[in-house]
Amino acid sequence: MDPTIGPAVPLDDDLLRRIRAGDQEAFGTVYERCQRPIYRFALHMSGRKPVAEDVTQEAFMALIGNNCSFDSSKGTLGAYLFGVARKHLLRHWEKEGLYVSLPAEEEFPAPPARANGNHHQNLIVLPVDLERNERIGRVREAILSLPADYREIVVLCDLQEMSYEETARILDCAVGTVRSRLHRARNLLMQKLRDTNNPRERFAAGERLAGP
Amino acid sequence: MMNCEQFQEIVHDLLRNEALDGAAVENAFSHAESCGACSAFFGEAELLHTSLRSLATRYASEEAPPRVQESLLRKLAQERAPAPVPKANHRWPILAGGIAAAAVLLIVLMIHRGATQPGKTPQPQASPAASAGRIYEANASPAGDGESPGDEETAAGLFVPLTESFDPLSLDDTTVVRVVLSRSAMESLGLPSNESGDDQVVADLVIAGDGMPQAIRVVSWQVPETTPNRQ
Repeated sequence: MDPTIGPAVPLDDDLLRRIRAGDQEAFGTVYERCQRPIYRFALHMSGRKPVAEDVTQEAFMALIGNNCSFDSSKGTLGAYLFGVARKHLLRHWEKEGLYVSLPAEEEFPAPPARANGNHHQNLIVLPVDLERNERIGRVREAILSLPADYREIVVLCDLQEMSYEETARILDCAVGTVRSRLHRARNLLMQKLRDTNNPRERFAAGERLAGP
Repeated sequence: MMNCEQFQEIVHDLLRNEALDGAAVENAFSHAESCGACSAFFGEAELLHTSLRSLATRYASEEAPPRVQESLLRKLAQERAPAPVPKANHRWPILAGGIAAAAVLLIVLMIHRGATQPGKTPQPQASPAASAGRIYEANASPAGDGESPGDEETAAGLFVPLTESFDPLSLDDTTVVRVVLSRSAMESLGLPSNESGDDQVVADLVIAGDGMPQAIRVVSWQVPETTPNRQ
């Protein structure tokens, strides 16, 4: 469970009061707690690191300015920040279009280095890795091609691994809406992946890779 | 017994381990075992689920670059820093207070001197000692006589010092001149002006040997009609 999306606690009010008084430590606490989920959410939604960076900055700027409308009776600071990030993403899409294709160098973060410390090992790419990378890449592309409403549900529920309840709090909608929207989104993803070339082979490869 | 539609409706919940009662889970698996289409659908959904988990894991270490936090902390510091106040704002109250204090002190001094020397209150003097220009030249000596501006017997107690070094009992090497001053000039010396009078007043100035005015007294709040060059 994401720690930022729990029930509202007085701690958030206290942190915000201290931030408004210029307390950098309080700001650091909130930033450390929330920046990763916010950044990753923006990255998955936009597909571009510069956009994710801008959106993250704008979201936290909402805590610094005098126009912060956070209300602890309505949710947590984390949920508030997600809401601000969503608004900024929307503005970005209105300006640049809904779908932003991934630049090749940003498509995936570099795979983690192998534990044996031999750098040459990183140059050896096994066929299994290629298959998996390709499959994950196609899933990533399929997610980015989803309508925004479905995309954010997949990003929050599947890529951020939030529960239906946590997602409902962020999106300010009913749990049932989250559930049904996720089901439609996943079915759409399956349809998109099915439409690619040689689906049977890809699924077969996927089954091998998805073993225990 | 569950049908295909019901199975496909809960398949994603099943994979996500969302709260499903034991009976529903059992029914779902029983249906998948007996239905080839739903079994394939389950496999497809499971592969998607696994791929999504892999994608989440791959991005798990992604975070905003440090410059984002640095920039935000800078903005926080700027936002909370007190706005610089222009120097003039600091100086003006001090200056105004100083002028007001000087004016009050002057009035008190004038009243005090008038009260301690009964019968010697300043009398407006219409000076006949007109000369060219706007200066009434006295007889150069404060110890002179007559109605000259240096009527020291009367004037000594009435002069208001303009410098800290002025000593009314030691007026050697000084000259008393009678002048016509504008009210603004009076005010610039920190002296009160009579609102009901003319724009100009007649005053005596004690001038030291170095030409610096040492003291002043108001002779008349109104410039006599006979004063030449009256403006």
